[in-house]
Amino acid sequence: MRRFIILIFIFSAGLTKGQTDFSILQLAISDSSKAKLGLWVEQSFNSNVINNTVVFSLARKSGPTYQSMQNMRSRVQSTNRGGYNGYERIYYSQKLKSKIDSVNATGFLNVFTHRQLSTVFGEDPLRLIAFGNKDFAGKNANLDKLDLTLLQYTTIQFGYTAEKNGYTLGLAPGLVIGNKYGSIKSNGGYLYTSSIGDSLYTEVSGQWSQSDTSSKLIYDPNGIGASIDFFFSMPFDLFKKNENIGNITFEVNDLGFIIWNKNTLTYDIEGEYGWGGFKAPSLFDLNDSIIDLQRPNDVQESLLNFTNVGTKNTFMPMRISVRYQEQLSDKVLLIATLQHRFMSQTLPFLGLNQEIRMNDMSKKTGLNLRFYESFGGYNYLGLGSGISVVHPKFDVIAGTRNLIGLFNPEYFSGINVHVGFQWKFY
Amino acid sequence: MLFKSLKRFLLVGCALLMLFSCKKREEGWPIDALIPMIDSQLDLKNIFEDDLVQVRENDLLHLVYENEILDLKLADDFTIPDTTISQVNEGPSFNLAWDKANPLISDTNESKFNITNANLTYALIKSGKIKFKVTSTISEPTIITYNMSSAEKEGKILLVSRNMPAGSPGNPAEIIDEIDLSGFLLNLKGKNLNDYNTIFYYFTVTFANQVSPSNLYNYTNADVVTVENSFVGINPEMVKGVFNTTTEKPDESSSEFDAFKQIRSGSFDLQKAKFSFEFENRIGVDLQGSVNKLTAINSKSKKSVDLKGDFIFQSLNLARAKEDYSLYQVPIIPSNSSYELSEENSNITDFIGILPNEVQFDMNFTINPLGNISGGNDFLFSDYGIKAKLNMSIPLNVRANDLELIDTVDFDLGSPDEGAELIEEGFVRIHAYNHYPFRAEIQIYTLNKDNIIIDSLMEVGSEISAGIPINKKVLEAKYSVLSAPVNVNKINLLYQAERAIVKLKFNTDGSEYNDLYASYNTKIKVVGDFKYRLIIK
Repeated sequence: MRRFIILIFIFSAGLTKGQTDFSILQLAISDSSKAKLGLWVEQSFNSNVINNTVVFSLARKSGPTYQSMQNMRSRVQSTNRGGYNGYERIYYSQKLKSKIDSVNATGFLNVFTHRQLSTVFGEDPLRLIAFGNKDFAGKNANLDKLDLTLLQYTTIQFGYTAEKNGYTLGLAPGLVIGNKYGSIKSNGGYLYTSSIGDSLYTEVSGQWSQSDTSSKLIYDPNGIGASIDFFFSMPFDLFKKNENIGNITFEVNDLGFIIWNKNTLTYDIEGEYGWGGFKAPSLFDLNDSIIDLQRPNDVQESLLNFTNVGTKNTFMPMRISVRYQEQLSDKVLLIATLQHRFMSQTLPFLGLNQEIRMNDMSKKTGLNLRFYESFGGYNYLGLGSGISVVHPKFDVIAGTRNLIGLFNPEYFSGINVHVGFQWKFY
Repeated sequence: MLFKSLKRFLLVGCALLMLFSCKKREEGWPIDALIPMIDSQLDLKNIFEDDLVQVRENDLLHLVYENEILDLKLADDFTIPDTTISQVNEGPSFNLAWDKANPLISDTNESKFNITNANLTYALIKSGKIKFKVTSTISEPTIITYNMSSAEKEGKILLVSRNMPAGSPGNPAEIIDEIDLSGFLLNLKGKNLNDYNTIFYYFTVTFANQVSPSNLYNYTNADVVTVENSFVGINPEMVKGVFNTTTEKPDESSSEFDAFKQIRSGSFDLQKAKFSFEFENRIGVDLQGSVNKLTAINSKSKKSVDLKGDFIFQSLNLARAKEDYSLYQVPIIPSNSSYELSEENSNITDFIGILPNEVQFDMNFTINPLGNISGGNDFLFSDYGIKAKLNMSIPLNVRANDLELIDTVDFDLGSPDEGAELIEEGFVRIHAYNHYPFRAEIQIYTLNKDNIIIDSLMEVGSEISAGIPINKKVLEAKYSVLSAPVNVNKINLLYQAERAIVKLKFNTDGSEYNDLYASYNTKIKVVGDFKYRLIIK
């Protein structure tokens, strides 16, 4: 078993990638400090098809070039994924007095917002949207594989961790405020473009839900819910040739639900529509009313059937993870995480993080280089790097988990920026 | 409104596009889009009025047109002029004790209408009046009575009585009144039934009270009764009698010929044409007609052709119509005569080949050229006369010479500020399916909201191919595809356009004539093949 895990880590390290989530284990205080106050901001996007130039262009509102879009052609697959995740987190941890001296207890307040846009779509929808319907002249573009979810929620957690003899248990129930929700799911459909493009015909079926549309601000509360995070960490020595012992952590995050308020809209997408160009019904019998009848103003009405306005319950995108951490030597720390986040259209994710101390160990302030490698998630491969500064009074981390897409944005995907800072109090 | 103009049907085409929209991303991205723009079916049948084109044997089209070029009514020649008749009835020159039981005046009046072109025996009055004025100096109240036994309506003769108050020589009594003659049939044969144009009536004056104050009246020369009758505005619905021999020439000398009015430009050569010049006589007289000249005129092309052939100046005998009162409404059995014209006995193909919009003519008609041979049974109903029709039946076996066919369709891509910049470049592609055995030059004009042409999409001289006949019939439409590049300027003009005109100009290669069949048409499909910046809101 151990050899198998080592093999996976080595393999993963060679593949590279970086896309790890924050762990509440980090909120536990394991050193001599009594409290800490921290900030964590992380923004990331990744996809197995949408290249970075396209994303950058859209972000700059300049619009991607035709060539940038065409560069995606070779990457289009039968199942395509894309996802954006954004976190803003502030936390405060306080070491608690324990009735049992050998138990190190920590209480914490953790407030964070998670913003997620995730989608999975088939080859045809992507080709249709990205490249147009010309590729489909004379055939159907199947629209049966599409799932897109937009979700933003803010969680206020009160947590507790207890450690004894290297075994740590953590529990963090939370109050969840739903900010935004939108979901589009396709049950099937197609768009037919005639061989010369003189007619279009579509049949679609699906659902469309959207939280309160009157809400304008990004943090407006539009739903309420509850969640719980918990973890268990235990010593585990994967690499025997050093004198350190690692630990392995099993963690569950965002196990919970959100009840979106009564103004949540739900539509059925069901219908068909054909368009063959403007017609003249008769050479000398043309008038505005006939033309108005032809104008395709009723497309939306033809396809969308309003079904409900009212509360809607959704599960949160629960994450499960197994994390292994070991100080391989005085200067090298290894963190490996295998995780999966449900309802996020993502593949299972395996990430490695190596932190290498660059300066002398005798120095009061540690200066570290960090390397990230990953496999899975919204993409297949990832490589990133960053730095961290460890000072007795504060820690700083900054970096990116994805460099490939930055170096070659025309053909690859992956954007990640994360910054963390925490003060330690004694 | 989520969808607008081009954006809208792009979104139709790409239904998922709207589903993909959660964030507002106005920057969009370029896609290769095939966008149906215009679907037009042009049919040569449409250059004629719908009811002019008939499908005959073997699906072959015929142009069938009936054009009434003359409707000559002669009622004005047989009207009854306004006529006034006055009569003074004076008392005796000596005093007379008049037994009041007897009418004081009882007289027969007979008068003749001045009608020049006919000796009428009957007239059915459509409208008109008798206005009468009676003055009396008789010193006692009297009753005056008109009895016109020659006027009959619904089996009753015309009988009118009025009370006349007492008068005096210094202050005569007076009655002014009128009688509506509408619907009365007047016998114009006179009192003895051997005359014509003559009306007669009885006029009597009796005492209102024959016993008071006495049964005798002192009748003197001071007792004068004056009667003045006027026949005013007499319009007959029907007259009957003997019509004199006269020659009538229509006031009109031209007629619209609108068979080709929808042909805007160009022409076609005809191999065959069949015309009939048809007369319909609804007057009870013998007629002899003559067409002295018949000219086809195309006022647009300034061309004219005189009809040549035996028909011109030929005496055309038109038999009299007959009366039949068993018929439901109009008791006329018309007499019809027709004269056939074809390419064999006339230059009718040249005549019609200029696609006339007007026919000018010179013709006249002689009434009763042989005199009174009907025994006084000539008749005329005022609403009916002589009609001349120029009817044609043309098998559409033609050669086209720049023959133009247009179709107008809405072309609303939206206003320029809605996304003219969205089309970055591309082509407008014309897919044509042409059955007609003519090649056709094609052009598409775009029009702004004021219907002013602002651009043309195709290069000058762009042509679609002619259908290829097999055994003289095109069984499968010939497909052609034409492309016209669009640049930024053209795209801006496209967005300004609110309508488009698709124009085809047909031409025949060679000298062969081609049959046109009902199944023929030309379908034009305009497709935008654009690099389109897709914007999802």
